[in-house]
Amino acid sequence: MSTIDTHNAGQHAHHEGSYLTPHGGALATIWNWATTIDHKKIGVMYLFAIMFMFFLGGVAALGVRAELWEPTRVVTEVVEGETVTSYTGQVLVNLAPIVPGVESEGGISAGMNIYNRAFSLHGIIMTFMVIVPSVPASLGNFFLPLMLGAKDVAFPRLNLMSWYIYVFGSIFAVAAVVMGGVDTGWTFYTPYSTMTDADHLRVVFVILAAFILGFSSILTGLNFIVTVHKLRAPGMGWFDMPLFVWAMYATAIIQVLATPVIGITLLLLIFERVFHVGIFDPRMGGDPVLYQHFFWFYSHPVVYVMIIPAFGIINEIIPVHARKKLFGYRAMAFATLGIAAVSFLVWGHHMFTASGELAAMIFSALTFLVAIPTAIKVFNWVATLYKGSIAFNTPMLYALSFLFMFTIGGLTGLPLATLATDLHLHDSYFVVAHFHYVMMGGTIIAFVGGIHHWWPKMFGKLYNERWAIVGCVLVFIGFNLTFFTQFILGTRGMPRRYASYPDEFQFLHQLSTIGSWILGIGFLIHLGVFVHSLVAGRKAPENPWGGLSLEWETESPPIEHNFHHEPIVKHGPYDFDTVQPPHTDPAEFPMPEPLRPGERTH
Amino acid sequence: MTSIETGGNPPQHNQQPPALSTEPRWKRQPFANHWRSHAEDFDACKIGMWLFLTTEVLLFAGIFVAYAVFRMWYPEAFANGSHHLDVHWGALNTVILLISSFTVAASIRNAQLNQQGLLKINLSITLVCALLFMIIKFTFEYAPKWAEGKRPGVWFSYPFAADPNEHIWWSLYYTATGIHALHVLIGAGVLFVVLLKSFKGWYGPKHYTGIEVAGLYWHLVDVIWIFLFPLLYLIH
Amino acid sequence: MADQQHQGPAGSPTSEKEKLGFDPHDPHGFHEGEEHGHHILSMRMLVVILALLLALTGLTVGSAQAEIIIAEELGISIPQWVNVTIAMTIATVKAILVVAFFMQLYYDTKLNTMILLFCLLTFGLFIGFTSIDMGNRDRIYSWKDGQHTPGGTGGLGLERGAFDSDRNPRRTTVTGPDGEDTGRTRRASEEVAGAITDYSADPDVARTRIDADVLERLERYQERRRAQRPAASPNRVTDLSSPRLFAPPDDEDGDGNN
Repeated sequence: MSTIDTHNAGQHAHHEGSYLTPHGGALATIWNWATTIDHKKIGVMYLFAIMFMFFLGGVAALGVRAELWEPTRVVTEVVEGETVTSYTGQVLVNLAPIVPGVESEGGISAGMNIYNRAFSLHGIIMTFMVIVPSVPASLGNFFLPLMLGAKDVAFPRLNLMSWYIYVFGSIFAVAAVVMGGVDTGWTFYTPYSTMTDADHLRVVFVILAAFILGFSSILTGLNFIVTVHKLRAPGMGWFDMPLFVWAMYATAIIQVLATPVIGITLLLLIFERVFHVGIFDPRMGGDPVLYQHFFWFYSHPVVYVMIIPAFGIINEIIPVHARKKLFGYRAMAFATLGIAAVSFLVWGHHMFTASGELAAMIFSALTFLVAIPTAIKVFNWVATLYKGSIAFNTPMLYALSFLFMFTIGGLTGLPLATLATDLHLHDSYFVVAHFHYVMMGGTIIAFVGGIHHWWPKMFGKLYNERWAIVGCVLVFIGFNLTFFTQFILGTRGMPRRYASYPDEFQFLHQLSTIGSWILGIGFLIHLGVFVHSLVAGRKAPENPWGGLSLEWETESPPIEHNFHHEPIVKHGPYDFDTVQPPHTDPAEFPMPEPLRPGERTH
Repeated sequence: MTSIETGGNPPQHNQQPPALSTEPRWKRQPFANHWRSHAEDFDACKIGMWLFLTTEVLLFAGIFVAYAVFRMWYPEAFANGSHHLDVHWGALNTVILLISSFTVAASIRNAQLNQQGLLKINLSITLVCALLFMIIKFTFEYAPKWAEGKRPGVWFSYPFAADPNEHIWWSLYYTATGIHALHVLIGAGVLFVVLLKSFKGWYGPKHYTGIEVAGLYWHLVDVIWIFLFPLLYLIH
Repeated sequence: MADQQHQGPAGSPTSEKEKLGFDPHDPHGFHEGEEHGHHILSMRMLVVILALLLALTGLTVGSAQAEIIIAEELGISIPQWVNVTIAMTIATVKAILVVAFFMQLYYDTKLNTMILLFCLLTFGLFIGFTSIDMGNRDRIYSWKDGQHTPGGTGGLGLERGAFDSDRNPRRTTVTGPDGEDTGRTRRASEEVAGAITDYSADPDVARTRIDADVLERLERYQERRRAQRPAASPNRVTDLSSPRLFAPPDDEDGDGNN
């Protein structure tokens, strides 16, 4: 059964080439890509930009872990009548000659100053430049119109502008790093962000970078909302959309509603830092906690901007690679919207130790609400897997890793939402491990899984499954080694953002650091797999996994205007029990046998 | 149509087909090929603009929240600070913005009815209003206050301050009105582009997306001011 | 009509609609029956709306002035919420008029109204929850006041008592330049305000000296705060009228240390 009808055949009678077809010489091709308004090319450009920033952020993370290999010890000795203080066990201090402005001061060594800059850099890059745009801007841009059966997003020129804004903002951030980095942490809390490095511009640069990146995020979100409303293919009602599209839609709503608040927050922060307007300065009657409210009003919803797209990817990977109809489609769609709604109600849980009792109680109670829609999702994924024909390929392995790690990350959020336990765990490694399990074990893992899932469609090349699985397993082991140890460290009292620690923590810290190396090797293997695929990969068929959503209808890679004819949707995206996927051989992707009397699939 | 009827000159040689080149610009305007019709393109642009206005409202929300919090804390500082503002200039600026909103709404009507002359006049009046607003803001409000030392934060040096937190009031005053003034400038810039395009005949019945979205933006700037005016000038 | 020349080779829309079961140019029925985006307002309507807006502006300015006059002439002190309620109600009505008619939301698709409502809902959440916390911070600050010694927060006025006017009743009447009564009061410790350098006399001096003077000014400000700060007392926390959820730590000698 084909989903394509030829009602408007003749509009595109000529045969179109793939969107990757070069236009003339190298310069002409570069110019074509730089000025393209094709959502696919913009998605690919985003993908590579994000991968580059991920690499930078990853290097900073490895630096942070390297510093924590050994605790810093202060050695004081008297040499020729003078007291000399020196430090042992420092790693990053070796970078001191090339990092400007990190002299030892006030009991903080140059190495510790560099450490502060390294974790700030890691946080800022990973949050604002990698995880927030990762899935929506790259995979979302590429596949949202394809899944809707549209020729492009609603506002293609805005889409290109959003990419340039992203690059522009990233350049600002990198410029600040070159100028010596910042030590404010990614949250820019006052007074760190208003008082440190007072004679340098680099903090302003980084704040400006985050401000600019906000515009990029807003434009993407705005574009997606209008696209979903106006450009669905004929026959595609709201509940015929793939859940990846639902996830993008929910994400876009949060982006549009929350991002402007970070815009004004960062503007006020710049005013505070540059003009000393006093609204965040307690010496002048302002309040730093007001800044925290402003910041988290954006930054908590944005946590869901990071994770909801990952849910969307898992929603695609699991049914396709388990060849089974998704369990509870509508529950899944409403859970997605529910998480988006709840995301605006819980920001205060970042300030349990700073805010008032009443507010803390309200926010604690509301925070537990998040668990309900998320649990619905995890239940539905597991129920989908049950009695499916699971293919243990890379995307599926990533989806299973996601289920494992996201569940841990989600459940460890509950003690943090509880006021009494949070007082102990607040700002400890427990928090660090929790949000890494969600952000990295959730979003990044799903992102990499999604890249593998859609790689054949995006570039028309197959990747080396064996090496990709090796990489996936290494990432899984490395990730858990790195961060599970941090749960233990956190419960024992290791505070976050410290360059040193008591000796008894050293074993766990070293395990964590070894884990970070394994993680790094895993990602390098993936990089190798991708490069190998682009250079020497076999040509991919139109539908290598037997998917049913519209992107598998078109060629691999898609043609310039996505579809030869406007598709008309006549079945749901997960009807694996009734519909033979397009471009597939029934021998390779057989329909499931009819159920015996009394048998249930779930 | 144009050359033959108005001047009676012989038609000029044109590379475009004559039937098309004589049509006004707005009739020749195609819609992007991922849309199914002009109406959809127009609708989508409007939804997009409303979403963008949402972001603008939430941008100002930050200022309003800061205002609410500090007013809750320092009501006297705010009352004292508000007394230093001249309500007459504020009211005049409100009237100016309301009139400019009216002319923008009227210019959309002009485009819908193909009244090209009135369209340009109304847009020009809007721009003049924007200019007047900025002149009043800077010469009669900012400049004298700054000179008297009524400045934000640590710059505050007004010797007769009656409350130790009055600089917070001035910080919020300058932030709120400054960001609003920036939006007035952006809106005026967009409307200027629209005016230039209207001289080239870009807008006509059912083809006035540019005016519509620029107008929505301008009305929003007006709405923000409608709230800023009482909050800043009328409290005591 | 201009639309017809862009409809492409697909043929007449109605026949195609019958064949397919839906309109290929509007598959989800956005435009069925009516045209949302092209409502033409009458000139009379526009003028009426403008007149209403101008009248309401006059009303809000007038009522604010009237309140002042009533308060001064009759000696009635009008509570602040009256002023706020009147001004904000009029502003809301004006905004609704602009949004509904000038922005034509009244004639527009429901989706755009929904977008606006979601925006306002988000605004409400933002201001509501922030106020819940920020409005109750005096309890935190007065609690911490007894235990935090300068150093942790720098002793820089984090204590709520310092800027709580109810607890600092020492107030003097503010007199004008000629010694007349202005009807306003200020705290005794604010007398130092006059000592702050007035840069307005010479802007050039202001530009060069402002950076060096920032710290100095902040310190002076901080001193004023310290002067207002009541002496730490172990009983202070019990002054709070509302019941406490957390008992304050034992602080027997009242020096801020346990």
